[in-house]
Amino acid sequence: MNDRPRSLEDTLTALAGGIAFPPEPDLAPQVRARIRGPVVLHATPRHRTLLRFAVAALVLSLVATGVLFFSPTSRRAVADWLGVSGIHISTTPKRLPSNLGRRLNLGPQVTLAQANTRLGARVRLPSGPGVGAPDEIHTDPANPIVWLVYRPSSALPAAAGHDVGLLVTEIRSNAIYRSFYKKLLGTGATIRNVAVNGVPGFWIQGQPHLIEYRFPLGIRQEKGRISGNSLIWSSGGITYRLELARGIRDAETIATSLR
Amino acid sequence: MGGRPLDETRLCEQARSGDVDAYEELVKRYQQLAFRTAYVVTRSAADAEDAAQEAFVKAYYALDRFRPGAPFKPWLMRIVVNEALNRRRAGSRQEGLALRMSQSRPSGGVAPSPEVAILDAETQRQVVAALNVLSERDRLVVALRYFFDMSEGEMAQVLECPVGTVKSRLSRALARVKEALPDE
Repeated sequence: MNDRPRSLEDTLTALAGGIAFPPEPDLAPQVRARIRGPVVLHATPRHRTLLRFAVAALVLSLVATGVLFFSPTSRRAVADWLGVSGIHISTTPKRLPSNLGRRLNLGPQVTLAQANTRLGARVRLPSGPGVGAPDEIHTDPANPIVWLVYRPSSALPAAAGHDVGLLVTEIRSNAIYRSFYKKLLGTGATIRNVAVNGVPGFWIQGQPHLIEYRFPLGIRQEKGRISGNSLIWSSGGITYRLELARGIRDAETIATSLR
Repeated sequence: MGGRPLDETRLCEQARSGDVDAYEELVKRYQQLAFRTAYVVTRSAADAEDAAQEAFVKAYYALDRFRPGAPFKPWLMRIVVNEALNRRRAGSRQEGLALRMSQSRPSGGVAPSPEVAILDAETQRQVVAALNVLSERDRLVVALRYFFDMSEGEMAQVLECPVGTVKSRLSRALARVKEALPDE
């Protein structure tokens, strides 16, 4: 006679050891890599909170030559899939220029006080070894965007294709965070979710990519800038973006130094 | 049995003070449970890995809100479940795989347990098929209780609801499993 369990509960309990779960990955190294930076413990806003208060979308057009080959149809599908209205996933048929170091196409150079006014908030400055006062401050004449430009130094080597060591962008808008971008980058670049001062953000590393910012009154295209490694996050209604040649640990250190 | 909670409490305290090694030990201890729980919701290994990893990182940065001395598992698993559900809500990149029984050896590579061995193959297939037609929330409550052996109290913490609500949700989920089973 078959000694079968009598109740559904018994059956489910008996099944527990027989479910074929996929082999679980070893998460410890990845988690450790993401938390080994300076620890700043405070409340972590959830992504949906960020989304709820988003007043403008930071739209990333991820262009990696030879990496992204989405057709217009598939771009639209991806945008729908991301749930980001009007997202642009741009591709380019030719290589991105590599000699743009002196032409970042930023707005007029201004003082820090003028930058505060343009941003509508206090511009936060990084500090730390090799990171002093910015060499130049620029603003966008039409949108609340401020750029802090740092020349290359031993601590901040020049980013590929640039003659800047660090570019800090501060935008009065919240970013839309999604975890899917990394799926769009192919093999040439990586993107991963990170925590910046306890706030969700993401880190893009590898291939150059082109960015666009979308505001309620139009799109700001950053035609002249091609960035390498980037750390992006939003806090207090401001989206921050660090671009540099260094890796994520240095980027996180700079991010946590913003005051 | 009494040593483990104390050990875990100490690990949590050390992690709260910034001891990454202590936190890594907690990750190793719970990564299988986190991954499998996320998989029950997403039924995608990639999404489950993303959700579990993200949950561990978020939990680390939220440790200042973790009540000292409280059990770590349900607090962590609440974050895991939320991450997994968020991914599911955001639109899965691919149709989830169905839960299935291991062909000959359960995951972990050991011989089938006596409990599994006494279930005939047809019963296994029918019950697993019934689980696969449940919503992810129903499947989750069943899995937490019967696959991951959580108490109703722990489930209440994970699901952020009263124990009474856990009981009713579990009862409804089981009723739906029964409805999905073929008539004998």
